[in-house]
Amino acid sequence: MGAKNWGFKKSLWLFHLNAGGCNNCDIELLDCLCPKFDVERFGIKLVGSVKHADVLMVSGVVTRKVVPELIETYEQAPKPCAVVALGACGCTGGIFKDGYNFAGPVDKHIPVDAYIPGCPPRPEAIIDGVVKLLGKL
Amino acid sequence: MSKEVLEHLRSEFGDRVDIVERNERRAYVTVSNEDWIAVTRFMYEEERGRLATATGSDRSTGVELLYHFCIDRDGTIVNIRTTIPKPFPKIEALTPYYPAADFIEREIFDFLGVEFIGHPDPRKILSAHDRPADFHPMRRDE
Repeated sequence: MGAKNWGFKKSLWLFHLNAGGCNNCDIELLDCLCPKFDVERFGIKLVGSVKHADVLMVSGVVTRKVVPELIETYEQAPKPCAVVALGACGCTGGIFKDGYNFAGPVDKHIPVDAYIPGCPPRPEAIIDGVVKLLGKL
Repeated sequence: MSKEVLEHLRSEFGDRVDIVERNERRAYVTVSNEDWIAVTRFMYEEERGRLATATGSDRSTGVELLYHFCIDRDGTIVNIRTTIPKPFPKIEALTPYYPAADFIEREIFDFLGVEFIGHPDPRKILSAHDRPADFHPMRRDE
């Protein structure tokens, strides 16, 4: 574990980016932070700017208009920053993979560290995915 | 009561409107393309209906447009329907009289290719900027 990763393993700060989705994955992500599943007790919180983020969570299907914004947000995040693709649409395109406005899954544009499938993924699955991400770092 | 609204429509337009009442809170009014602007302006200006949203769908006979007017004083919805023949559908815009129809008509133009005559800003609103000008994804032509 190098010097850069020493402060990275506990209390991650998340930045959430919706790349044009239907918002169900966003609701499940907010469920994780609300009192029933409550990952805020571990110090994990949502931040308002990507410059404060340790983890970039991308939810929703990537549309053609949002691709420059997605790449710009990733480039503005100070590294090390882990990227998580949340939901079936972010991983592979889900039910929209033949749509006219689909611009490829998230890993076609930015490098992804963890994939959390589901439509939408349950909060338990999101927590499991983040724990696996921490094990990988 | 929505009966009042339908009675006013019948007395104003006679048999140029064809009214079907689905239940006591929904009514469908079918008009022709020529009477479209007169009936929709009547719904907004005289009956004080609120244009909630609009629906467009591509049928085999043409593009069917539905404007949904909510009568808020009694909780009913009156839907004004017309069918515009293809291949180059054109109809008058409601935006000069009712500014809330601005984005609604731009979206119908963007996805179905209906040209709104008299619209002050006929640009596309949701498709990506690098699409060609005749890209109308909700058409069923192919």
